[in-house]
Amino acid sequence: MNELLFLIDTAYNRVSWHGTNLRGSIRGVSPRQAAWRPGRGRHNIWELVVHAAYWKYVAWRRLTSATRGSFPLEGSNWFARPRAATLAAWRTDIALLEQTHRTLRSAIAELNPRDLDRKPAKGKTTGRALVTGVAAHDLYHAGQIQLLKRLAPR
Amino acid sequence: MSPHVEAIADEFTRYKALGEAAIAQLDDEELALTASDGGNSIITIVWHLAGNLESRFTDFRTSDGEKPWRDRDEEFEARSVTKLALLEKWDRGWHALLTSIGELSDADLLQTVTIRRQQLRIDQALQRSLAHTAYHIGQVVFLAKQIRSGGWRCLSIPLGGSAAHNARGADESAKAHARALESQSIQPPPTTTSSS
Repeated sequence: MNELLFLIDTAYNRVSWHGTNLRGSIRGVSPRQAAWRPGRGRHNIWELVVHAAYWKYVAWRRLTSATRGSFPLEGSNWFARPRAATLAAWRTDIALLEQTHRTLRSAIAELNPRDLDRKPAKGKTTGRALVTGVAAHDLYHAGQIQLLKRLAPR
Repeated sequence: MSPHVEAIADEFTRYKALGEAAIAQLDDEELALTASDGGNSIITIVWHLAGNLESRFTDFRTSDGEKPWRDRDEEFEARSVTKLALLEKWDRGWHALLTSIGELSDADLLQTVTIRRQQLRIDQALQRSLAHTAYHIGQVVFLAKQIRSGGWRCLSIPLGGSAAHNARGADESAKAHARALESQSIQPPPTTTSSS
């Protein structure tokens, strides 16, 4: 299981060969930068962060066969942000990202290695594929956040 | 295909399809645009990504992944190429990767390969490459969406479509996502048979 933990940690917050990971990409980002959009209808950094948190939650829910509805925010996938462009609100959503990562991490650590390549009763994806997907998803959006920071006014 | 290798291969395929569906929406001139002064164009990112994949996965198990013929710095130089030439470059990189992955089984993953004269387990080399690929494909999709703006064809669950998506119980596997993207690509890249 260590290899899967290493995989999601390097994608999220552990020093890695591939450079900036998701947590690193938002280090030092202000609420103003996080709320800035590159165009009408485009996502901002803030929304990418909550979106990443949501999919970590979904992966956790599928790994543990938990029922839907326990994500702290109402809705799914994309969440309009900011509700209030304050440092407190930004920190709250970063904390949500941290929390969902830690919860997912704990679930992975408790997995029986023999179950990794089995599909859950109602699912179409193995645990290994889920975790691999979450890691890649973090980096997909980390790459986008790096571009958004370059474009956003400071 | 063995389950561990398959999980990685499916994710690679997802990001390949995302990149192709983004590139398909732009023309030659748009692919050369940058979003900011000094920023990379899609051409530059694709040239770098494909160059990396071709170098790493040509003779993957028998030679160093950083080939003598690769010039990484040159990949980042501004260039003027057609979409067709870009897709040929892209396809060479992906062909090398997918050919090598197709020859692997889970039993091979603890063997080692050499990258820049350092030994690395095959599973780690694949994960590292997937991480690098996902990162840059995220940038390609971002730039393509920025350039195409209002006419952008969505590559994932459309905004406001999550509830319907959940209610459908849609297959969210990487393979299913890739299939859906491939079916909407306007101009699929040419298929080459050469990995050189």
